[in-house]
Amino acid sequence: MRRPVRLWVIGVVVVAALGLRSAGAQPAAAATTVVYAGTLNASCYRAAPTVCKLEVAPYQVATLFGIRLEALQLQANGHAIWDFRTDVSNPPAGLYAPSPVALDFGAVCGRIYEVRLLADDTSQDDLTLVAQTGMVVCPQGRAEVYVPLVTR
Amino acid sequence: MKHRGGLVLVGLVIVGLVVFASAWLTREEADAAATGFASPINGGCYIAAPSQCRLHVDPFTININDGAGARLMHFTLYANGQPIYAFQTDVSNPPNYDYTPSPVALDFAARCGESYAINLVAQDTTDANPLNYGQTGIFTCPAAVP
Repeated sequence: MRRPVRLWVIGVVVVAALGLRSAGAQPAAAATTVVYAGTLNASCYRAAPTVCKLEVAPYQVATLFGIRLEALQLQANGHAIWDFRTDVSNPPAGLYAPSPVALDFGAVCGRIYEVRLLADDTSQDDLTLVAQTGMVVCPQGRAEVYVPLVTR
Repeated sequence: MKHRGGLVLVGLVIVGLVVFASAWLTREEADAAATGFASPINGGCYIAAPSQCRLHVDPFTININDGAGARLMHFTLYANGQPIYAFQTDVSNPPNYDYTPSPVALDFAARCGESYAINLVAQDTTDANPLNYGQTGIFTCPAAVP
């Protein structure tokens, strides 16, 4: 008599545990994959008479509990300008602030850019948009600086 | 007499097994203790100017086996298996603590449009050989300035 009761109790516990596990997994899978923290701000400046650069201000991304950051990508007008991958065996969890690049990003003087940040984490298969700037207008290049040299 | 000889033989076999097992277990512990590690190696590639791409690695910390009195000897960053940054510590007073290298000023040269993976190989005084301490996923350098 005792044995069937014990088996029944074990069965109930296992079913309850499986139910709790699946219920707990659902919100994580359904929730927004990467939570963006802070803002994405960018600017364009003239670094030389005909050279312009895009500068993206420091920013942070945050992943939900139990999820890890796998990749980031910055795009300007839909084209990748920075592709970033995290450690394969120990990707960061929680808040992450990528360090600024040393030389900023190449841009074309006089052109208008929209900068986007995409992110990928362990809960999804691909990069998704997490933030974007307004239109950034690069200063006009001063090509006339070189004109006298050409006409000489 | 024969019986006593058999007992001695069995005793020797047991002693041999115990010594072998002890040596084996000790070797396993030494190997495990000698392994250092690093904080995650995260990095990527960006386009800095037309036809000029750069690899950028976020700051990282090399965790040496300081519990065993280890000291960091050297480390190297590799991109696709090719060294891009070789670092040597002081020969007479190498660091005996977790070490965070300062970032380089101009990042690392790269080819636009090419895919890379970056890994960190380091060795402290308890490592018999240089070990892989961390590695990024594969990323692709942008092809052109948009």
